[in-house]
Amino acid sequence: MKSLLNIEARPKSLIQSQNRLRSFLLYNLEIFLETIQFYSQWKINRNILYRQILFTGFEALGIITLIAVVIGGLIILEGNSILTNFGQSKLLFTILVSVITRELGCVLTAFIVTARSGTAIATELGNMVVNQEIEALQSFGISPISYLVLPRLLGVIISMITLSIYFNVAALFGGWIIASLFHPIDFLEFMNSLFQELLIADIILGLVKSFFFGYIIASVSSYQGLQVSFARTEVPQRTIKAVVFSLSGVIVADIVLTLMYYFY
Amino acid sequence: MNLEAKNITCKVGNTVILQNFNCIFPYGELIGILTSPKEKTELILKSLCGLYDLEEGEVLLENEIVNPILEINLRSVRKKISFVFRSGGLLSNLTILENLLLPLDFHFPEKTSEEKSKIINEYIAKFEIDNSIFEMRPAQLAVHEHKLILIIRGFITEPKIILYEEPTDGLDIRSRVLVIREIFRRRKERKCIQIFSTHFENKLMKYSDHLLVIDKGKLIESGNIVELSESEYLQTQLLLKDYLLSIENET
Amino acid sequence: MKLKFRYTEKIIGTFLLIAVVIVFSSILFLLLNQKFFERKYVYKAKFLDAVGLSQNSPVYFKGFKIGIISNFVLGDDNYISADFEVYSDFKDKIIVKSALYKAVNVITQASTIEFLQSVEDGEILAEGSLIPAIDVPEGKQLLAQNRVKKIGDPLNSMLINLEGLVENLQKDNNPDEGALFRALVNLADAAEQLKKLSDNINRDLDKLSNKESENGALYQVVVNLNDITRDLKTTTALTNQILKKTDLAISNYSKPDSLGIKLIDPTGENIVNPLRKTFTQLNEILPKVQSFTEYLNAQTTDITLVIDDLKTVLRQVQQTFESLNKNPLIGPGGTEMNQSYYELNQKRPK
Repeated sequence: MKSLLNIEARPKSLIQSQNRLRSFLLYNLEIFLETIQFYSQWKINRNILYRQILFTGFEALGIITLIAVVIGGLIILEGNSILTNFGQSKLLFTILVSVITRELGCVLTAFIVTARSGTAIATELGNMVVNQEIEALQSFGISPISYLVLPRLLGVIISMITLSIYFNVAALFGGWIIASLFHPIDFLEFMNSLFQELLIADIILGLVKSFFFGYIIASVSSYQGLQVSFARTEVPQRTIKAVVFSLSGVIVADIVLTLMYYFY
Repeated sequence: MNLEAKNITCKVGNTVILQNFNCIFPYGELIGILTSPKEKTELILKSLCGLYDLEEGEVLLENEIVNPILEINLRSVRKKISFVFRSGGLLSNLTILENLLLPLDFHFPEKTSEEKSKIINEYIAKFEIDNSIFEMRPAQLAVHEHKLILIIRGFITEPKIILYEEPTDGLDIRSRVLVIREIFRRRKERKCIQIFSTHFENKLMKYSDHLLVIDKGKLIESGNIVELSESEYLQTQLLLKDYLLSIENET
Repeated sequence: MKLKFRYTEKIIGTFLLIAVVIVFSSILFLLLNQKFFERKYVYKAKFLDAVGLSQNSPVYFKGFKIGIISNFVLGDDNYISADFEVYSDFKDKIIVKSALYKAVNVITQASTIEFLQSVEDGEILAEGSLIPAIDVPEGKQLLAQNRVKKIGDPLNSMLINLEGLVENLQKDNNPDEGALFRALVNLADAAEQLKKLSDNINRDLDKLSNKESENGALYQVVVNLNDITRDLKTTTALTNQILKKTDLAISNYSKPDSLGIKLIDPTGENIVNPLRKTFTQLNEILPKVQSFTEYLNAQTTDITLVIDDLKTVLRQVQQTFESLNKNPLIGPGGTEMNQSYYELNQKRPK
């Protein structure tokens, strides 16, 4: 506990620690402690948060929309052609809701966010360590976690949630538009059937998943970034680790949350 | 308001940085730390200001503990200390202006932005830097500009303790003169403790109040340049060899 | 890039705002769709089991969703008691002596719950009152009183009518009661023939009752009944032939939402609808058959022989059907089918 109170000891204790899992848990505990007083430095942190949302969220909107529209269109096209043979075309909406809203929406968004922002965070923080920027912040008394990690964490979480909402909308609407080019489906009927199948719990599950995915991506990537100690050559290695651990974390969290949803 | 190191020990791996180091840095003085180039002088400075963890002992500023620092007095201590890095240390994703504003924003939230930009502009003018670099990123700066910004950032909060790691390294002749002049001005005003480490800056050595010679983590001797130039220690003689040569050249 | 930084706040403000609006509007739309804000009228519902029940199972009345079933628990009496929440638009439909009917899809285990309004006009049921399912005693009572009618599904209403018939038939010390009942159910396609047959029987019985004093009358009746039995067997044979064509439909009819039937007959025009029609017709004549059997019960033991004969035939039919049912999707294949049919012909009395 002494080292937790000793703010200067934090990043070094992390870097020097041999027990990686323990220090990652400790790191998350520190994030939690810093979150409580985040607002006190709102003025300084605001800009970083905004830029993080701009970079992670807004700038990823294009690729998210593209992927969503293609996936949505494919599911509708495939589903329509197969299911109508069985006279079960109503199941199409069940599949749409379960595949897109509950699963793919969040997971694919998480993959894209990891690829774009997870790597960026790990690289940026890694280079900052090498460049003594972290120590510079510490010399002012600014905690690297509250100044560097928290705005990024919040930015990624907010962007993840927002992007997965856009993903869902794009997959469902865009999917409908794409599918209409090949196989016309009445829009009102489409919407009506969709809302028949969609539950509020599905929407909430999607948001909850996005929150956790965002947290995992940002905390793993920033942790790996801060683990760089001296050399620039460590940066790409840490970036790779950030991607691998983020994706694994996302998948595990997805399984756990889905199981919780069904067992609840 | 003296800075006091009480029996401090710190290590990196198995290498000793400081061992049972006791020293009082009197208020208002300019103090130099001389080590052989093999040693990690920057860690000595960092451990004195709480940027590097101690294994034993503590560093006190008046009654406040500087190292190991506590969350409770973190801000008030940090406000009184600034550390000038040898290189790097500017936040690469912020502009120069934002870099300079950061410590001001953090420590003086009560100041208006006019007051802050007035302070910044004064220093910019003092070090003869062009205003146009404000919107640049650290990576776009020349080496000497980068160093000057680091030094300005150290001065800008008017701290009680300033630690310089090779303060004139990487500067051109003109800016070197400006920086040394500013350091001496502060020494004259006696408003802060200035601790520097250097391997070559004769002028600073010459006008320091104290010089500490540290070898393998141990304080060998201390004194002003006149006292040290008559030292019997081989280590001190080696360190001051260049200096003495340059004095001879001058005369 | 500069431009982006200048408008950062506006860009991300819009970016976030649109997402928030999307989420809240869709949640609001869903809540409206589920009539979350409307006042709901809560009644108590009682079911035999909870198979296929889920939280918020919809309840339909004439195709409209009039409410949902929620909070179902297993009661002390081993019945399932649940809350039946009715939307305010439909509260006028909930009148006294109404019931609920839960049908479970065998494959998906999904249930559809239908509200059966009392046939007679009645007062609007007070909130909190019990609305039983027709498979619990209270519901059966309503059925027996003919207060509710299951009209949506002809097969089901036929089954309900058959219950009375079977009870009568079982009074003849019938050792194979279940089989008879099932056989009768499966005899659906013989509707037309049975109708003719019952007309004949009625005519003969009339003769019998009118000329009771005549000596030869009973004999004649027996002879006639023999003819009837032979007719019945012919009918059964015919039924078999019909069933040959419709065996798939019959086996699938018990699970009309199954993939199989959709696969074979997506529109329902070829098999399901004709079959439905047949069932409806059979349903119409069943009361007549019932009265006939009731009458037979009242007659002398001689007629019991005829009934036994009838039962034998029915049992044979049953065997055929059981072999049919073993393979619900494609039927038993030609050989087995022909065999049963052959056996029937073999046993035909000369």
